[in-house]
Amino acid sequence: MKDREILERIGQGDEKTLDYLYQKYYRMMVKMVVENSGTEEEAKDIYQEAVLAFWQKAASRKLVLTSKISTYIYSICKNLWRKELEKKKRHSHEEVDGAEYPTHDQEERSRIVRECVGELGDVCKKILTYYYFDGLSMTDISKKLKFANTDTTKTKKYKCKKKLDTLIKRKYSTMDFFD
Amino acid sequence: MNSNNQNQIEAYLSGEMDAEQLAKFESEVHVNPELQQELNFQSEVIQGIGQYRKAQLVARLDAVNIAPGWLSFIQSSTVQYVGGAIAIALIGTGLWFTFQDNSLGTELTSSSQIVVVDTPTQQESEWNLPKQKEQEPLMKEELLVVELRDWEKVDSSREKLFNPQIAVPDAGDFETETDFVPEQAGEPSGSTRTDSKKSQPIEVELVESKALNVRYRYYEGKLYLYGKFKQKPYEILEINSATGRQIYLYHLDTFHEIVPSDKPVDLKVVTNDKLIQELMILRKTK
Repeated sequence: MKDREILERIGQGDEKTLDYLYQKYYRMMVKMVVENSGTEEEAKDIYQEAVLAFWQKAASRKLVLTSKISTYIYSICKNLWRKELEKKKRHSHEEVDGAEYPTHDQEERSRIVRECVGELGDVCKKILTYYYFDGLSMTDISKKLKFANTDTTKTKKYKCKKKLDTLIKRKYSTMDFFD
Repeated sequence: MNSNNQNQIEAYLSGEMDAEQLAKFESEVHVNPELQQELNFQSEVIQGIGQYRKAQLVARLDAVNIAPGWLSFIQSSTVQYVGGAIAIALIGTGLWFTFQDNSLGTELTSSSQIVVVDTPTQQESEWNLPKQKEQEPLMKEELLVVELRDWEKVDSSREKLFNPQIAVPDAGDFETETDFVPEQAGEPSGSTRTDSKKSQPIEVELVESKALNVRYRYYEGKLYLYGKFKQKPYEILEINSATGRQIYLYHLDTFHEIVPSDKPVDLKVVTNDKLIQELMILRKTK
């Protein structure tokens, strides 16, 4: 599959192309991290992070490629791994600074949000995740979910979001997060 | 909170505001605690949606089968391959050194240099066997008529002769595996899914060749082997996992990897020790 085709397919939110891409460059990217003092598990995490960053850029059609996809993902991997190494180095010399970690309340709120997303119906889950994480356009979401038009999608998205907000607020209030 | 505020919050969080709108919105947030609270709330919600989706996609990537011989064998060969090997089909039972003793094979070789060594397909075993069982007396009689025909003819003859009245699975589920391409080997959709297309044994065709090197062509799910197989037996090891199929040929005490190729190519010897060990285990447990 050519780069242009990969980009177009991901722009339509085609997850099989994501699998293809992931498999295609796995060896190259993991090798880079492993050869630079990383473990295979770390290498895999970094590569997944990079592929998903690429996925978001490409799915939202915000990416204008000036190089090959492999070069682009390679540079993301390299930057992510460099940051990870710096973080490791810092932590080995300094006391762990608690301030950079989320508080218990923040973690609990995040957990509640994820739980509420999971409680939504399949269509709502798809619309909201495609829109807010993947960054797919309303047109692409409509095509992917086979909705009649973008107005239908917009209305559904609005209703789904409202439902989610209500669910979360209800749970937050039982946990006294609003007090 | 009015819908205008909601729209503003969404535009702010998605970075769609221009400098002027941004400055105006931020100054309003400073003086409006309700707006501030809603902004924090929406920020958490959108972040949470992202975390949910990310976890979903990471799980998807984790399920992608990386090519055999790489980390899958090094890291979790036992889990992935022996586990996936529930569906292992070790076909071409391998011991073709009795080839000339087989009446079917004899008849075919007498007319052609090309020897079809296809085994009964899964289609045969899955939905013809029950029919054979139910109509056993008829089958015995009819087999006399068809006994010297090749597998395909036997198959179609049985279909006609038994005129099945038993509900059979949708034929669409048992298509031949012509759509097997390496790119699809990585499809992770449902690691627990069983795919009848992928679990069908491959079709093998032997072509007697005087060339010293054994060559092969693996195209559209059919494997053509070129060499002197009458003297030297071979075995085919087919590993079907939920995400793909990998074929290995065992010949002259060596394992060879078979990759799709539409032209005859030389066999590629497997050199990865761990992979060889796995394949040896598979051969022994066959």
